[in-house]
Amino acid sequence: MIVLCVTALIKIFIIIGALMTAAAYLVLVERWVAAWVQDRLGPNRAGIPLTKIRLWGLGQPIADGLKFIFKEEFVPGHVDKILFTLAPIATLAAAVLIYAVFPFGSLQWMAGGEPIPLGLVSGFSAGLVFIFAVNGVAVYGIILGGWASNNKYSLFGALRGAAQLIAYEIPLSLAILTLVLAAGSLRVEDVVAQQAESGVWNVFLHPLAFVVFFVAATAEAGRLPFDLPETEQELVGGYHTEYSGMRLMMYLVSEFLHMITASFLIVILFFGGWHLWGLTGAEEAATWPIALLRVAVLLVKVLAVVFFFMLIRWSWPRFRFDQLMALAWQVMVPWGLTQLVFLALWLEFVEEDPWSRGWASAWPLAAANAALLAAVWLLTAWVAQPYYDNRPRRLALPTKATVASQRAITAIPDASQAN
Amino acid sequence: MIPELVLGMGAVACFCLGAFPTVRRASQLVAWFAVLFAGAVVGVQTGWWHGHAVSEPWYAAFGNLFRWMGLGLGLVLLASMRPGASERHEAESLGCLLSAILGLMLVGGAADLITLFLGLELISVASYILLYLDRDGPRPEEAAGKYFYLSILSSAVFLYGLSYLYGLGGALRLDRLTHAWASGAGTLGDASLGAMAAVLVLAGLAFKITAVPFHFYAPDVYQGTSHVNASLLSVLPKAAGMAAIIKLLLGIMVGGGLPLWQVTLAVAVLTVTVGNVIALWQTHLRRLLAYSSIAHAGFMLIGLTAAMTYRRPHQHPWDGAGALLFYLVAYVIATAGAFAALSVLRRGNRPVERLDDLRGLARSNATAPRFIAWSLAAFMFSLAGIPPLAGFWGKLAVFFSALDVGASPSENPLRSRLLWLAVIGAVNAAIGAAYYLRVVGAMFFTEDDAQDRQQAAVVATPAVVAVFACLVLTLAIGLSPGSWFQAAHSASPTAVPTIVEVSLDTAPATH
Amino acid sequence: MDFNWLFFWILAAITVTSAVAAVLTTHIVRMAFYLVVCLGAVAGLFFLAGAYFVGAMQLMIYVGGTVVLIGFGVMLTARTPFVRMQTTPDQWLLAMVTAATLGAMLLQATLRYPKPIEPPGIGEPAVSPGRLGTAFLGLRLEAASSGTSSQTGGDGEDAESLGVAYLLPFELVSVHLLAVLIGAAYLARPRRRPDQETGREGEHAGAERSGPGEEPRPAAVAIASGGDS
Repeated sequence: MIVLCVTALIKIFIIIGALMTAAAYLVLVERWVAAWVQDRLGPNRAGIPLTKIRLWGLGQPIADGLKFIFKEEFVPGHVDKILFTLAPIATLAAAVLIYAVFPFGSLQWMAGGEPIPLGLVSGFSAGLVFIFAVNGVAVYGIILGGWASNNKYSLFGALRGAAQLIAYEIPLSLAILTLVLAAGSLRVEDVVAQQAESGVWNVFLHPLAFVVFFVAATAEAGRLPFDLPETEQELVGGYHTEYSGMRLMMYLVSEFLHMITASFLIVILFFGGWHLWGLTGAEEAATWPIALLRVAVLLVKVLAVVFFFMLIRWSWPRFRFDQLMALAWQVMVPWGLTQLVFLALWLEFVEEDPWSRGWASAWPLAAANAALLAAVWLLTAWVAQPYYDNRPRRLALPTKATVASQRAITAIPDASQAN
Repeated sequence: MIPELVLGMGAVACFCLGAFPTVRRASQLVAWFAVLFAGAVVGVQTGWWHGHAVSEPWYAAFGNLFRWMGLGLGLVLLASMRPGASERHEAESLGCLLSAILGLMLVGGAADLITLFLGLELISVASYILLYLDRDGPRPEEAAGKYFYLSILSSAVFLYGLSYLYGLGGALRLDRLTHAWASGAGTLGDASLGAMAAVLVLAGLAFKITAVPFHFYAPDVYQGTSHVNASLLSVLPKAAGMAAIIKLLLGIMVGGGLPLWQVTLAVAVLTVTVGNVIALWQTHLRRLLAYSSIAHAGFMLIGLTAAMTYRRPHQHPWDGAGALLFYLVAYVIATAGAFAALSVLRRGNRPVERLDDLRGLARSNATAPRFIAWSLAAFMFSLAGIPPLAGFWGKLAVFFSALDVGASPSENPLRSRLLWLAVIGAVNAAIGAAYYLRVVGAMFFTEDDAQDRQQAAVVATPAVVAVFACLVLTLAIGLSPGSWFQAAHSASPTAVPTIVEVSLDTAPATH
Repeated sequence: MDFNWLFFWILAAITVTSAVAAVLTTHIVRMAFYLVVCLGAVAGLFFLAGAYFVGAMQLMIYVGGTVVLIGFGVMLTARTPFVRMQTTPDQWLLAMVTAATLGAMLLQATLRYPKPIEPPGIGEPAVSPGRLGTAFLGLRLEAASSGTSSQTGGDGEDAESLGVAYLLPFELVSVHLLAVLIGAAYLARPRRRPDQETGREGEHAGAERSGPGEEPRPAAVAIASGGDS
């Protein structure tokens, strides 16, 4: 039992330490990517402290961290003191807690015996449920923080955030349910093992679920096309307008953690986790070099997804609130349902176990799902064309057809009409 | 299973049609078709569906009884929904109505706790929405709010009780629970967990059947909403609640050796007295019928108490559970008919709501108001228990079931209490007759003296046919109750109460 | 050396403290927050007992569901911050009597109950979802039947009946949800009450009077248009 506790503590330290460092350095990476996208230099000055060595700006995170730590912990007089303090803690706790169930692989000692799982709570039998349960807890930090700030803009940000997170939790769950149906299990390890053993990653097998999951996960992370809770141009800073110092840092770190979480989930659920063809093998337990290689493969994949998120951030304009809601309820939820029902019917009537012989048995499902994705995409684009026209309203001529379709499609009227 | 599926699909279709303004009127057709088709299927295939073989023989008859009741009520309520009055919500209202009927049928046929609970909740959820969508009632917000908050609380209490039931019995299936309780699961430890389960389940269901400590919402809610909704609230939750009580208390817990009869006896006495006495002062018709429905819940609980204390080894007309079911059928028909009759009456463009509004209805020149007055009188007499109408036999059966315990073998220690229960019931029946006769008197023996009001008139809707159907049923049951008693008895549970062994340690065990 | 007792006491203390705090505070949003903490700690207790699925469900349903409560609280108190819920002494008395009765019953029942089954050690889940989770989806019944009985629940029901038995309730729940969605959609629209002017005895012209031209203005617009001006 002592050994168990010690190993658990070591794992926790490693994971939390790595996460905090990663969050700090990803801020730097984000700024680099931003600079690269916008064709400028980006942060490249800060290097080793107290020296003149620049080191391509790698010292920047240390400077940022120190700045946060030494800033005044200012608590405005008009806030609800208890919740103002607790809200960022809850946010950070929820953001970190989710890493408990991520599998990094499994390690087999040379001498044999039980494989050591690389992960905190490995084999957690309800891992996928846990993931979206903890995901749901993240709402509290936003809504409580925004409310406790007792500030109009914070409250708007909080309410927007709550509405957004709750709305996108549904497509997220639908996409995960698809995988649960496929794997026949709620364990995260089983989802990975299925992809590793058959060699068919879920992204090829369920592309529609992937699209839904990707969009929903981006929205849950509050990344730019979906960053309505904290739009600087409209809401000052959104729900954390009143925060400063360490409390603000908790919010910012958890935002980055949400992005990393989303990347991890995408890689684990859709891109085979630690699996790479011809390199890592398919058995769950592995020896030292292979296990380390797997961790590396997983992290590289995660970094690639993170990089993609950053590219999105600097490429896409922000959604309007009604578009955001319409995307969730009128596109993503029906898509997720379509995928779930389609897979259920396929497993019931066409092929019970498409994973049994790898690609040889899985290609019909993959092809059918790809066709399904194309079909629903085209259908949505055709049906909802006037609504997803993103041009400013005064330029788009309000024809009778557009008005009618808007009435039919949206439950929330256009903001400009309401004002 | 097919009737339930048809109703469920009909409900979903109505909800979906409601989204499209051009076709939403078709929901009326869909709803009628669903109910009639489900009825036809029940008529053809009378066997009851079970997810798994249920070893209790009475389940099939019980399920069928509630299927017929649900479908019949569905027709009456469908007919009473005034077309055009709530045109904007018609599709949604019909969908809710169908799902509420579905709920009743599911409660009747449920073979496991989950289906039972979901069936009850289906009724509740549908009634919240119906109450909210209602445009006819004077205070829909108050009615919807009051009913919603209290109902979810009661559902929570009920579910809490169910969790104890499940934890003790270790199964969700009702037949397994029956066996578990018969083999002592209910008295595990020192029986306090079993008592918790029973009390919580009974408390949760007491809300649905408006038994006394949980009755106070009924008058306000009924008054605040329309006749149709009040009708739905006074029959569907009550029938479903009674079905659940019979299934859980009589079907399972009565074999567990807990002195449950003490609780039901107290509740029965309180309910019947409070309902009848307070009803005497009511002048608002829906309030009056609300208290009347409370009182009738009390009468039914008398039958329940009798069934909990003594069970004849063979079928007998004065058997408590059968009497309860018979009473329920008579009550449901009379109440649904009375509300349907009230819903077709209008004065000007105002619904008839107060006792004064009924004045001189039977002396009207037109035929239709006179017909409505006569039918209403028949329903009132049936509710009051005056022969030869259905309600009379119901009251008779319930009182005699209590008296029958009194006449049971001399070892039964509960004889005197059940005798007193029957006496209290009889006194209350007399009190109840007074206010029902006030309604009749207003229609028949007073002039319509109001100058500022318009004459009462009948709006020609299918509800008139429904009133007629209820009238025919009330008379038919009253004139030949035998086969109905037969049906009620085949549907009553067969578990044997073990009351005598536990209730008094000094008394020797009987049966 | 087993640390379970330590975690148990920590979680139990959090549960009880936050439950008491939720009762004592007069502040609706804080109350909901304490409730969340309390429910979350109960989820922790479930995890500790090895009932992972129950714990995760507790997190998802109760902890996740309370956000609605908080949302309402926030919206109710947004205009006039920090309103307090006034409770009169007689309400306190009544609530205390009821709660004390229930508490006494529960306590007595719990203490008298025979000792429960030994909790499993770490890593041996007592109730695991296994195939049960997918059986709830209503499909893959053969998958449900292939699961071992230890995976499918503690009551010894054969797995075959398990798969079939929950198909109907599952579909029922979806009918429920549809009805609730319809109700919520109507609830979200503002009600026009034309007979407010005429009083409650007035003409019942609710449905007739509402013209087709006017569009409802949902409250959500306030969020949408917060800073757009």
